[in-house]
Amino acid sequence: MLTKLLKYEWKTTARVLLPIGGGVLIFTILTGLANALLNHQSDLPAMVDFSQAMLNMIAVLVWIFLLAACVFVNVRQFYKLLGEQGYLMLSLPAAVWKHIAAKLICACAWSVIGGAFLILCGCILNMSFGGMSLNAGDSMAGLQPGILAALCLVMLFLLALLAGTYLDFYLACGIGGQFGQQRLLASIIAYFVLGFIEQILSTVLMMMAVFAWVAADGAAWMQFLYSVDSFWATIYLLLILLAFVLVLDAIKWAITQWLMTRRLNLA
Amino acid sequence: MNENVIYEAQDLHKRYGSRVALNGVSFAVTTGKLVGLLGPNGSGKTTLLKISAGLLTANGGCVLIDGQEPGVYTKSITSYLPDRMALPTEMRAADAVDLYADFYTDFDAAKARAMLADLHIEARNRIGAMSKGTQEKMQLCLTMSRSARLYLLDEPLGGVDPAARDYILQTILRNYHEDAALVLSTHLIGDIERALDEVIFLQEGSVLRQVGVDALREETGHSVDEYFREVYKC
Amino acid sequence: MDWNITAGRPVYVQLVEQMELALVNGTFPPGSKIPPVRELAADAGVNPNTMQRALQELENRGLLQAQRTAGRTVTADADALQALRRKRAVSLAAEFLYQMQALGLDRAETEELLRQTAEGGDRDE
Repeated sequence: MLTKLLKYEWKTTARVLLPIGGGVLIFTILTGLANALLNHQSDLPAMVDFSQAMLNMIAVLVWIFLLAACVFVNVRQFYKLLGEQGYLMLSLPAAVWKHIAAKLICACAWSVIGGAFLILCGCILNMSFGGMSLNAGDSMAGLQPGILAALCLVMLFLLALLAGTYLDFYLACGIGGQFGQQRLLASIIAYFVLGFIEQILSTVLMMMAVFAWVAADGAAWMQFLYSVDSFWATIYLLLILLAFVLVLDAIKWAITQWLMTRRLNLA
Repeated sequence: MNENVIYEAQDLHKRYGSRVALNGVSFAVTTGKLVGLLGPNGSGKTTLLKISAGLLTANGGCVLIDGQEPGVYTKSITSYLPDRMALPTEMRAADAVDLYADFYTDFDAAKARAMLADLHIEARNRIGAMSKGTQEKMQLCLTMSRSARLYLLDEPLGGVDPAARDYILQTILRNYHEDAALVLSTHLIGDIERALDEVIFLQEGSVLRQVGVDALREETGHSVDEYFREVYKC
Repeated sequence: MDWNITAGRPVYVQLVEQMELALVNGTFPPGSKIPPVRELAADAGVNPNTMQRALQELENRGLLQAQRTAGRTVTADADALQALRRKRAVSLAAEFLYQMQALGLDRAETEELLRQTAEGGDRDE
């Protein structure tokens, strides 16, 4: 059932996102071509220089728009699940966690693809992938397994952060869905309140960590970390952060799922 | 409780804020029965069906479908027709059939296509471009093409023209199985009362009466429609 | 066949009456198989359970026979059908006479009217 939900989710979002992506790609290619042509000319009138700068600025704005559209489409999918679409999707014999999982996986995948796509667009704008790919190849070859593992860990950490971002939106939608009217407004307010709470929580936790560190003779710990060498120290720190973010994600997921099973209230 | 009870509600309560939608609804529907859920607007018909379909949580009491509370299992044996358009409007008719075939193992795609053809709905028509009545017909066809144990239809005949209404009624009568039960809500009882076994009258969130159609006709000498008008007279 | 289910009286009673009519007028000839319940019910736009009950009643009265291989056939017993025809005719005649009396026609006038109507066909009104 999860794969079917994923397939359906993917198709629905692709219908909107692929055309946008295509448009952005074409615009970027055109701008890149203009750059390539104009950069080889000297003493152009100021007007042309200005237009070129404008064009590049617009290209960057268009990228931001693309990212925003990606997030918006994926969040809207979830919002609609608790609205009109729920009558179809939530009637399906699928557990609620599968609905959340399908939406989350799909949203994260699109965001990662979106990020990669923007890097590609950046290269196109400067017409500089040759150097880029060569560099990448070189550095890849020179990587030690340890560094590679660390990179994977960083990626995992970023992914967990990304999932957390979407789970924030989902939880906000879930809270908004509890209201009879003005659900959109309620969801938006819930999102900001959640953000605020998370901020406070992180600050408090950070402070507690600092106090704990002082209380528990942190210097000894520091020494331990230093003794292991800085590379492993970074890895440990990353692991702790990753675990923290994952726990946060799990809590958000659990509350969303609880709202959708025990407190479901379709408009 | 009778072993044949497929669908029952026990002391079901639901509030929307301070407004009471269901106030202690209890009834039982046995297998093989075609039951009409009658009541004026705001009497709780849609709320009851939404709770039964697992789209709304009750504040008290429970709904049991084949002995279980609404969940993945009950959804797999219940075919629910909401009171609104639930199919994505950007889909074509054929996509919607595929979607149902994908998600419901008891869905008969061939039957659905035949029904759509009978109603002159083209497979490549976009759902968003169909008239409201056609969308309703389309949705009903999909709902009735499953071989479920329980059908819950919320206002299946609301916006449909009389000719299609007859076809739909025939479709319902031909397609539901002897080991299935069907509950439909309506406030247009006239056309369909002779197709029903029983009717449940809802009023202000409570069951006023659950009675067999022929028993009621025998008792009152009126049709259910006339009785309905009498009971709910303003 | 044409079904006409009206308001006010139990559907089941009306189904029995109309099935009886179909049996005596040869819509379903003696000894022939009648359509399955589901088909008849959909045709009449009535609940299959109600149709089932009506057919059961006709079966109890010996007008229909359940076949072991599923399905029902019309009785081949011509006497039973004749008796049914007679019963229906008698009750219609009684009803007619009652109505004529209510209109104030005496027996002679009623007989005369019947004769005239039968000969004249669609004359007058």
